[in-house]
Amino acid sequence: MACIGVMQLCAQQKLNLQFVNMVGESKLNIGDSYKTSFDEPFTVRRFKYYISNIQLQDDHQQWHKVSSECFLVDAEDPASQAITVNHGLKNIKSIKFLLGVDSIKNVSGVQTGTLDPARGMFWTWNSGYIVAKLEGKSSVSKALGRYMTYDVGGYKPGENASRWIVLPLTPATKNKPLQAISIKADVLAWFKGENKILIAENAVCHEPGILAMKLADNYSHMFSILQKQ
Amino acid sequence: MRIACITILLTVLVCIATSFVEKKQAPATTSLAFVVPEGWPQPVYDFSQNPLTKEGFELGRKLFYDGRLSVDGNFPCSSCHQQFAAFATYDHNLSHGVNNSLTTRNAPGLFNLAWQKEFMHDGGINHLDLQPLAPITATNEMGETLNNVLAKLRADTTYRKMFKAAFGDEDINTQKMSKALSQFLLMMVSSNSKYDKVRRGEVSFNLPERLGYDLFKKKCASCHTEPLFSDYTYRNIGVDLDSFINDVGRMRITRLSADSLKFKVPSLRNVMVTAPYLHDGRFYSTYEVFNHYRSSVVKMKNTDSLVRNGIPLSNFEIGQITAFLYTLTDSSFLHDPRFGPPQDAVVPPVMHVH
Repeated sequence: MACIGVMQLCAQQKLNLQFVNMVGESKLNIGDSYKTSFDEPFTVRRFKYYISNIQLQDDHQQWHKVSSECFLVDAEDPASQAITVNHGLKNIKSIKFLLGVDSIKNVSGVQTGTLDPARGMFWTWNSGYIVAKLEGKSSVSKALGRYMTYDVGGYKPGENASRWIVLPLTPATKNKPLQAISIKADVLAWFKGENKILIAENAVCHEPGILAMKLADNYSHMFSILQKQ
Repeated sequence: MRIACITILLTVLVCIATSFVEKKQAPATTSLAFVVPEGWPQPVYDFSQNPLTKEGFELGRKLFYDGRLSVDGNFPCSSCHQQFAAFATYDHNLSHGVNNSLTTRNAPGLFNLAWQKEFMHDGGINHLDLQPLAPITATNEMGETLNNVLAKLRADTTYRKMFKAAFGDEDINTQKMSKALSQFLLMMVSSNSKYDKVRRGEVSFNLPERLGYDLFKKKCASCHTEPLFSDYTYRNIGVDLDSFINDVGRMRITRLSADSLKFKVPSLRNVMVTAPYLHDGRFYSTYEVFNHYRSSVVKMKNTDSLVRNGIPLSNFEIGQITAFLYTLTDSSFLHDPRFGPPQDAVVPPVMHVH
């Protein structure tokens, strides 16, 4: 905490982070039809994920925590996709954040703000946050209503669905530190990666466990730097 | 000398400043004492995160008895948690929810919750403050959304006043609502049964009660541990799966087959007023429970070793243990006006939910 206090004193620069939700090379539009890399069609109704513990790396490889907040990025809410952090760094080499929620928040009762269970990202019958949610429909889904609902979460050892994301920001911009970064969040990454996810086989994930961990390993690759300036 | 003067001056200034701040910020709440009965362990609830106040308690009490926490207005918490049944449901095997729905489980009694680490028969809920969110949002219980509940509370002048009195401002959110409910629930301590009075040396057991207590200590107390009458572990007591309800218990939470059909050991305090019994209310009387233990335990891979071979019990012994179980009824708790509906509460008539 003390370190954050010191940093805030010298924090003079603003860094704007813009999360851009995409499906491959296309922007994600709610209701539009897309295809996974395995040629399975789907539409998206909800796409939400928690971003917390944002840290920036300086030229000396030191990480600086620049926010203690937990943000909920929501595809339906453009304001939630823009995050501004303050820092005092001359140059930013990399950015790191947790896609998810600190495990302590899962066992400390009811939280407020973006972590308010009323935001729909909390399992009430088996306490714990949903780290990320991708919900829609697919004609190949075998679930009722042809729904495709991936609610991924879990905080216990072996079931932790939060993932650390590190994105290098090199080469550095000349003379001044970065002011804005666009970070792409690619829905397609949920289906490919370490684990092949076929909607026809697994259209529903509503609890922590094996499937949630597979999806989490996949979505840990969904972010990339789209633009920086 | 000069330094001393400055120090004194500074101290005075700081004192003035702090007294001003305190006057301005400290909400005028009356704190409530939580008394741990003598010989009981320390509670597990972290009171430092939710200090008990009269205002918070009264708010929690109003919420507990308010049907508006449910989608159709007819299902307050108190519809399944009735004071005369030690806050279990009288005579219902499975709890009833909105739109003539049934849940898959028997509502447990509510008391001594400050000593419980996990909630529900499967222990899926890890904090008392989180517990009310499950029944409020379950479609076969109160069927409401948290946002709708909060909107109803925010629209009500009395609630805005009560939230301000309890928490310092009129802002109403899930956290404050659940903290208030917890304050009400935490105060529900049941520690004044005949058993407790005997422990305190105020009265004595009669002969059947005393013989029953001796048998209880031998045959039941390893799981139904005194003084809370539960060790709050999860155990498979050899009750087979109802394949229609398909409730696998603790395994649903841990996803470990070793936890199949394990359920939390219930407290036996007030047991004679909380029938029916077991997670799904399948036994209507304590006699049926005794009969299960002495002759119907199903041997599964993970049936608890303490009951695996049955518990030998004669009819005579059952009678004595039953006499002892009656001493666990805390009638002052069942009639304590502090835990009844607030005076101005309009509680849906019981006939609506039965």
